[in-house]
Amino acid sequence: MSSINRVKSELEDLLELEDVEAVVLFRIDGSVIESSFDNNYTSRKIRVLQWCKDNVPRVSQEMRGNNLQKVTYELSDTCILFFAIGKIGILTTLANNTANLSLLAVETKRKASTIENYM
Amino acid sequence: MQVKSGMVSNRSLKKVVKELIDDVILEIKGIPDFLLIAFTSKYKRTDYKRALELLTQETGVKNLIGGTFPAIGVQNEVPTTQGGAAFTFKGSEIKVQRPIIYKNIRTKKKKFITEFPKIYNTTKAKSKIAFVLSTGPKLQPNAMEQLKLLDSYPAIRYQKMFNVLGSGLEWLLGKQGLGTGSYIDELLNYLAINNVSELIGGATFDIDLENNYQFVSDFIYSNSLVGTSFSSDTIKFGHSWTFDKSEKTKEYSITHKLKSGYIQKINGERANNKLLQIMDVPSDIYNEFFEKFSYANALYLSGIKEEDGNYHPFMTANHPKLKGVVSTLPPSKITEDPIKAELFTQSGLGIEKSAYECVNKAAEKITNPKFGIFINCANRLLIAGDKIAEENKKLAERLGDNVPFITLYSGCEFSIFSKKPKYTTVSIHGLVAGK
Repeated sequence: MSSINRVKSELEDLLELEDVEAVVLFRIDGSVIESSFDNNYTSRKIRVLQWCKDNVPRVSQEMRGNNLQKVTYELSDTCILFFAIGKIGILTTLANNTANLSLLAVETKRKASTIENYM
Repeated sequence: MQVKSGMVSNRSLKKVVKELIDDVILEIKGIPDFLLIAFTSKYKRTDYKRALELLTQETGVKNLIGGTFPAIGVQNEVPTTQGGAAFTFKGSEIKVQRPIIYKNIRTKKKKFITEFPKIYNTTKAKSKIAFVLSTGPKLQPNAMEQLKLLDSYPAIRYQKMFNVLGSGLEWLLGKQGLGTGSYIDELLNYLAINNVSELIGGATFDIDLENNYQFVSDFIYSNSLVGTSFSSDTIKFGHSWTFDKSEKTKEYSITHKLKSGYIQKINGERANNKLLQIMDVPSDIYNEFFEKFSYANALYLSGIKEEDGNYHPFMTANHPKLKGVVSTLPPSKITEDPIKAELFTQSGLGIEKSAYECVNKAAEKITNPKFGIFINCANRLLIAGDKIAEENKKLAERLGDNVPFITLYSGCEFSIFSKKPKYTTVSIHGLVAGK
């Protein structure tokens, strides 16, 4: 299996978790490396994804500048987890606002570490 | 003695099992003498069944025991909330009792409490310990709504009558496979009286209080207890428990309570508001946050001081629907008098520190650890979040880098230490085997 397919498979694992709506692996400049979505495309989700894409460069700069491994945004109806993947990527997980962020963070951290090994 | 443990994280349980077989179990030369299998709790029952069939067929293992948990950890890995782990060993130094299953354990306790001590005591080996996994908390989605009855005037005024009604209700729920884990407190007391001197165990659990399963061989059960025991003349089994005792903050008095652990009043006032007040949590913020959830609660750690000066930890759960507070105080700790309790804080660092304290104490008479089994409260996982990997590093630091261990994040934790039962929540119980 190629590296990108392995990454895709890890993203799909995350998407299977309860309350997760989308998972995107961004490059730190905001371009998408790989992504995985459920089939329920709502305008809210598209709006939040656009927000993520626009803000990944700023968020990744903050993370690198302050040596942060994880940043969480809790919007009114969506939670977003940004996990740093080495110096080049940001694993972004979108979940609805009832998600258990502690449990989600455990698995996302694990996946971030696995994906880093593939890259 | 060969010991292996490993973990696989994947959305497909079939893939998880195949990798566990290839990378962990088949690394043992010959058929393993013991296999502990733990899966996370969100797969389908049919998937678990197929996984167990594959495991028993491919490995030929007879002594397979296991269950489902919100998360699982092993040495040198970040714990997973989506996957499975295997812990296995083979060697003449440890004799493993063939695992036994007790169905409908909440309502049919007699067979277990009469049969299990006899089985445990068949061996006269120098060191022995029972290992048990039992069904943990499972409630209906409207459980909080149903508990409102316990806030009524008659429930507070006629506590003895409601205790009788409550035990009847618990029995009826138990028949349906529902209820908390507090029934284990009673089982432990019986076992200790009947000469089961050492035991460690935990409750299978789902964080959303839905289905949890127990395994023996390729059989899967949902309301049962599975158990075995290890005995040896050359290997010692050290075990211990503790909890995050970071900081005590405030004292309070539980003045009105029921045997089920439901706290109606604290310091003579309705428990929900009073506890929030003691904790300095504004009730409007709390209500706004938790009202949308049927289950989610403000979970806080408290402790009651025991005669030996140590604390017994328990969890309180506030919910906006209730005037009282749900607690995990076991029946044996609920006395006639007001109970003096103290609030404790919890932190990621406190969780790491307590994990080290547990393993250190369990291993204090062992110079050459062979393996460890840890039963760790799922609530500690929620507190630590993605920092939970640090806790496992502390276990590895004390055991040694290459010593295999498994951590099961459970619904409640329990042990018997020299015939003294200990049923707790928000805690970590650990077994270390070695020379």
